[in-house]
Amino acid sequence: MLRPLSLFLKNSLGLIVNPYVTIRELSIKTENFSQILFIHFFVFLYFFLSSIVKTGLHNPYFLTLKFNSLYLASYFGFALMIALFFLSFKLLKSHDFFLVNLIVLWSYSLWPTLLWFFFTSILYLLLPPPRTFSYPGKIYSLFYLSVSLTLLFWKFILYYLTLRFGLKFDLVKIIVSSSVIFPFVVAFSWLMYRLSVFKIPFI
Amino acid sequence: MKNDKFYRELVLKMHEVSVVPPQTVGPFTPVYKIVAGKLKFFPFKVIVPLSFLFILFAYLIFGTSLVKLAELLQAGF
Repeated sequence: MLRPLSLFLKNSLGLIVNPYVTIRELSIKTENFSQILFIHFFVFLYFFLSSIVKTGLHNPYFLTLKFNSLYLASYFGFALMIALFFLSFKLLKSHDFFLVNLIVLWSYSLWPTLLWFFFTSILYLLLPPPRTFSYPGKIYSLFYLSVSLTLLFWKFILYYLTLRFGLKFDLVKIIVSSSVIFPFVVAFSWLMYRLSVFKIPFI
Repeated sequence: MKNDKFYRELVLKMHEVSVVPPQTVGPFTPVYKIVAGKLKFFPFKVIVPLSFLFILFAYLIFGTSLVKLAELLQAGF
């Protein structure tokens, strides 16, 4: 268990310090698939805690229902992304498709998503909305949006690198495949919103 | 020589580096190289200031609508 943990910590740090080389290495070395269990544990932990925050502990039935709907929907989104990568691979005739590699790469790409959801939840508890138009309210809102945008940029970088090394796509193929992937992501987000599962999709 | 550990590691590294061909975008290749170069190592040194500037710029255009947006996003977890 120590080897996967050290790999997980090394690669997670690598995504911050040197994402290009980290994703490139991950796309080649498939050793220790179990390293991604740690990030999926954090996903589990997040939904467990957010279900408690949203429904409270007084009604175990609603708590279980909320947790299951959030958790299953997030993995439906994960599977959808892997399926869309496969669709892109089929449409654009890339090199070989290594499912395990893509699962590892996309699992690590959950870091910005996970951090944003943790960040938002913690701030929600510390300073719950509504926001005011006072100076502290505005500064807080601008700070929150800046951090959110930073994490979104990071997510785009990891998405780009996943397609670049996971599917060996060049920039043109990444743009074409994104034009296929994004409408599905928008449709998924809309569906989750309509079903009252996510307001912001966990992808 | 093929049994030399350093040589084998060097070959593996060369293979890893050449796993995808260099990206070119026609006449924009130098611009792409500059942008990609800035984002390859510790991209936060670029994306953090860029995000703050972008949000400040958006605030100058949209004003307090951004406060509403933050409120909306914060309820979105």
